[in-house]
Amino acid sequence: MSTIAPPPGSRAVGEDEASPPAQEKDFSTRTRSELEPPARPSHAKPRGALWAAIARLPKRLFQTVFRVVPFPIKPGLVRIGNPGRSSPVLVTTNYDLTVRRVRRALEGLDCYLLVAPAAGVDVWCAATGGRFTIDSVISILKTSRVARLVNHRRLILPQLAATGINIFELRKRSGWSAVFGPVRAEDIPDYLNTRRRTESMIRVSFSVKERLEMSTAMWGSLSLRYTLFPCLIFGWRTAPGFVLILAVLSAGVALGCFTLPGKTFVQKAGFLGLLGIAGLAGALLLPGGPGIRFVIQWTALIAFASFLAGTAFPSYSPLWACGYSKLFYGACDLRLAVVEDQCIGCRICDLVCPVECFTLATNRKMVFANPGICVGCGACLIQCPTDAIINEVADDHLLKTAHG
Amino acid sequence: MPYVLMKLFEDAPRRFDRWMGILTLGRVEEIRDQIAESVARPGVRVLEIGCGPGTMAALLARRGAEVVAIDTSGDMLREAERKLEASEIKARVQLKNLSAMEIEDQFPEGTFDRVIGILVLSELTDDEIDYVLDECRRVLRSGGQLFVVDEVEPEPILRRWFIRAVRYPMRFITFLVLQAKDLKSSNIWKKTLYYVIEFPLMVLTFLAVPPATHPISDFEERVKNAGFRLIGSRNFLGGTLRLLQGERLG
Repeated sequence: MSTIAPPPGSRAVGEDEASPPAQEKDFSTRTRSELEPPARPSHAKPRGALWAAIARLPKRLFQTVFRVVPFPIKPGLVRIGNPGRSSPVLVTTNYDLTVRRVRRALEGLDCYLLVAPAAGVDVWCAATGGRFTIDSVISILKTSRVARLVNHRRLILPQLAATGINIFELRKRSGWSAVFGPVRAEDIPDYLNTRRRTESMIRVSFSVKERLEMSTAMWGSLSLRYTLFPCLIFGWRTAPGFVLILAVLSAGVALGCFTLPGKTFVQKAGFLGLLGIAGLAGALLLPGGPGIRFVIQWTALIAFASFLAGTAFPSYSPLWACGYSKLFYGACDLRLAVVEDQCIGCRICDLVCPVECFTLATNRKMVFANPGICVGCGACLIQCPTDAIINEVADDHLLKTAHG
Repeated sequence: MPYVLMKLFEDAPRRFDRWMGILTLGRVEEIRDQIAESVARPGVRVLEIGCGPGTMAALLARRGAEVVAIDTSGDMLREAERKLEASEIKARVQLKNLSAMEIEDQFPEGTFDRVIGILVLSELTDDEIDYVLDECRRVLRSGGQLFVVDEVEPEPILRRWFIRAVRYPMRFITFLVLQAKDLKSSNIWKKTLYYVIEFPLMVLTFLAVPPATHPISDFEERVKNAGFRLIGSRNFLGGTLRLLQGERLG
């Protein structure tokens, strides 16, 4: 089992976004067998809450900086509120952070949440990387015996699971029909009220907060993986400086991803790097400034860090196809096209597209109208019931991974 | 552990049995023979869960049993198919691409006289093991028998810790080798670079993620709790491999 294979699409932020409420309850300590609402009010003693907050700080910190590392919790059935026999059944993966945020978003509702085994990876990455599959869903349906608890057979899957779970096949194999819910957990209450997914519920976004979160994750993973190289070349003393440069560049690229000059992210990060290098060169002119050797060394390190931040950034964004994985995993580019004769105009490709690649033509056929914004997640390819969407790039590596 | 060696062979399904034999020092063949001996009679209906390349199924069918063999791996099933091709026992073996979790929807209660699972439960989570054992009982007729073989931890404490100490690094190496599975390039320099860069993340991931296979804890208890009477138990390889034979109660 390989686990840290970066998905060919993008690192996900979408599924589990929610701004932290002022008072955050810790759900992770509750057990799944909790059948009744807690007898004691959850806002117990303030001092206990403070200690709990301090105690979970290391874990939270780890999860923030090393977001790319899986963090599995035990799969199982979670009762939210007081669910009855007709309550909705939602599914998510057993990534600690995801489950925590989904539970927070569901607060006040009555429903069942199935935490499916997916190697402790978030929904989008797990579905794209072959960890969140039909088998995961079947496993949790069976072990939770949820069929005995409800009188319907309908599941609500997170939309970003569309890259790994074909709902037609799921119905064939499990007898449960599934619909895709919203991308973001915080939209679930609205969705359950109206049973309509608005345009904003089905597309990914990349807010400033999300960008900061993902840049922290990118900084953590880049520092962990690449600090070795400056240490080997220039000595271990350069490590803190290099990590700092990575932090500045990660935050800079993430915050300026829409505004920085340049076509690619290497260019955008390079622009930031050049600013730093220019500063260094300027310092050289000052009397009593740093020596030429110092300037050359840090110029090289800034250039290296800019390259890293630029190549890695798309992998941490929900809006751009992963660039880094091309080096090791081969091209994951998709060039999609709709075979008109086979298209039945069911629009599922549009409804699972995290951006907005497809439009419906006047002849009731779908058109792959916006190839430029395609993130290459492959959701449409997996879901199309008539195989009307084809990948014109002969290399179908992406799909092989998606199917495990 | 087996996964390391599996990767060393080009064509895994075809050589699967050979390395299984090597890995268990020939015990797996012995176990298969023993099961076939006590199970197979003409007409007996057998379900094999996780049939792999179909060696056990073929053994049973050759002795006249009617076998339904399921596996999740399409490659393994193709190999099983190839092996059975053009032999007179083919009609007695039914191969199905199913996971152990899907038995419930496929077979009504009391369909089989015997259920066999060799080294399959250890790949499931604890909840899944209990569920599958429960389903095994359901699909067996009253008085039907279950044969499960799996990895366990030896009871003597010193030996247990010795096995753990040997197993852990092997698990780590297995994990590392499998990390390169999805790499497209076979270029050795690219591969090396990949490992150098990704190593710290691989270590964190290894520590975070539960193993792909694990020794089964409370094996007897689980089988009993699922509604079986234990009628046989045999240890192999210093108590690291155990064969349990249970009879459906009621």
